[in-house]
Amino acid sequence: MSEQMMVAAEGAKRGAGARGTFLKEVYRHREYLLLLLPALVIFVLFRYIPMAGIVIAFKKYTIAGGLFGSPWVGFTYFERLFDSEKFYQVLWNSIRISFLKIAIGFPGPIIFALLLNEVRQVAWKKSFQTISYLPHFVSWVVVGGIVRDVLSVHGVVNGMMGFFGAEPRLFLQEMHSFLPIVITSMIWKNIGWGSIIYLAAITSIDPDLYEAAEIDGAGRVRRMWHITLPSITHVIIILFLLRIGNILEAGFDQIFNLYNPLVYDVADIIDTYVYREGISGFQYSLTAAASLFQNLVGLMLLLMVNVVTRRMQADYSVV
Amino acid sequence: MRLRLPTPGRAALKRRTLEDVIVDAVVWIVMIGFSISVIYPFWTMLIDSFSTPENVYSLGFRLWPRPATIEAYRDVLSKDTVGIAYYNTVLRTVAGTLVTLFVSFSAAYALARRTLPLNKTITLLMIFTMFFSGGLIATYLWMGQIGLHNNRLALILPPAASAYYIIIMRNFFRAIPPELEESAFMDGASAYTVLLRIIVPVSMPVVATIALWSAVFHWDSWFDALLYTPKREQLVLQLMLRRILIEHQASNLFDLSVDELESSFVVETIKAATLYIAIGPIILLYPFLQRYFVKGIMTGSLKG
Repeated sequence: MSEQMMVAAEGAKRGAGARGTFLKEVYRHREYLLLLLPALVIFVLFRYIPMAGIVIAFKKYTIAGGLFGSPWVGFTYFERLFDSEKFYQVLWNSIRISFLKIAIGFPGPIIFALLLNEVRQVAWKKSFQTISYLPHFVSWVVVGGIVRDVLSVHGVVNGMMGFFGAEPRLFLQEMHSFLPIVITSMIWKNIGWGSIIYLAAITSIDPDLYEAAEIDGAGRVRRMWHITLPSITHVIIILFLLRIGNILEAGFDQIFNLYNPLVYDVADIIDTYVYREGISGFQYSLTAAASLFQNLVGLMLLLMVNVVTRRMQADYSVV
Repeated sequence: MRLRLPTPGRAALKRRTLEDVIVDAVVWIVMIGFSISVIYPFWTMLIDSFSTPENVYSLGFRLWPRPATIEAYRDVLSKDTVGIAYYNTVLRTVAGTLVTLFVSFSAAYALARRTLPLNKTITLLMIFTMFFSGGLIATYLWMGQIGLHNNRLALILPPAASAYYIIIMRNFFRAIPPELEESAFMDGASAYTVLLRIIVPVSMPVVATIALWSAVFHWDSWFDALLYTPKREQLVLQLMLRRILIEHQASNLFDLSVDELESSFVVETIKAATLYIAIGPIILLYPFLQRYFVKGIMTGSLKG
């Protein structure tokens, strides 16, 4: 036997051995694999097959053909999408709303946690916390209804402004007040719940640090700034990077329950556009192309963010 | 009389500086202001629901319904639609939570074994679904192709396996001391016996957290219902609320009489009553269960 053949035979044997051990391992873990099976079926059926179904963006959808049997049309729908002004409008709206939410909304829970931490009376602290969680536990449908009520002609905002002699206004139908409403209602709904993680980080700070600072004559603001804030910076960075990765998600549930045709110019985002034109308007392939674009950009952003986090510190990365 | 000081007496003795006063003022103003902004809208809705239609708009700032009446609730509860929506919501919440627990718990237990073949690959493929999806259109069309349009299973099956829940549970299982299981395996117990007899009892904290998250998710979900079960006999509460609060369809949904429609105030009290019928259970329960929700956030969020 030549040397070459021997190496080859050796390799084959090793391959078979590896396969053998793999199958043996599978058999040894058969009970566990059976436990895993329902979840795997759900992931394949409801996540991965729809993922493969993205091909519909490159096909002309027909009822008979369905997702996988419809005829291919290449990039036709992408071309149509990138030629339509509407797409750039909803893309821009998504980015703008999301950016504003991050810029104005992201610090909200951090500030809330810092302030709540300064409430020394435990009973009050607990009460404020419990109250602040309330909006988190109701859906955007409910919050949408509440926002409509508060901003209605008979609502509390118009009531207060009427007290100063202003005419009642329909805020939700005004383009320039729509974004402030979106940001405010988002902060209102999330600030309490979002602060949990920061408060948890704050409670793990060594109390000796505060005592030492106090002895050195640092007041409460300086202790907050020089001890509390730096101690939770790592949490802030992780959550910030995670949020950046989702920048194309402007919040479908919220917008969909707040907007109306009068403010589409500023309020219509990719997700609402996909729902309206796609599901309600039957333009499946065109809107699937918009969806795919959004998902790809989102995935790219997330991978970039993850590389950055990995560089910064291995512990921070998500994936 | 001697002053009795709390134990770190030094701090209590110290005079409050101007800074302390300002910080406290800011903190309390923000906290009380925010709390009022949360409570007041819910409170006015509650008052509206107990008001007579004529009274809804009569007072600018309403603190108490005068006169108080349960007319709106009686009215709303007499409509079939509310009963149907309640039934469907309770059904999806109970069934959905049980299925989620069963599927996620067993998958997490399997993945907690580091020796499981393809463990890493499966975990990665699961996590990938958190960040990338087929999108609304492909999912919607596929659900139609497998017969889940106008089918309640469309609300229960897809959320049953969530990468997030599974990883939280898996991390919990990995923290259980292995000795607990080993002795049982030595006695020849199967994986299932160990799971039921040993793992399930010690996992109640994480099960409670996931069960509550899942229950709130199901109770509050509306978009999947809008897509897959929009018909009247499959209507869920949140979708009914959306029809009433956002789409202003109370009249069609509840078959209101012409008289009732004449006064838009009737619609207002009915809206408020419907809202409270839908969110009542959550508002009543969450203050007592919040620690379970919070615990999950701590164990889950940073280890993902």
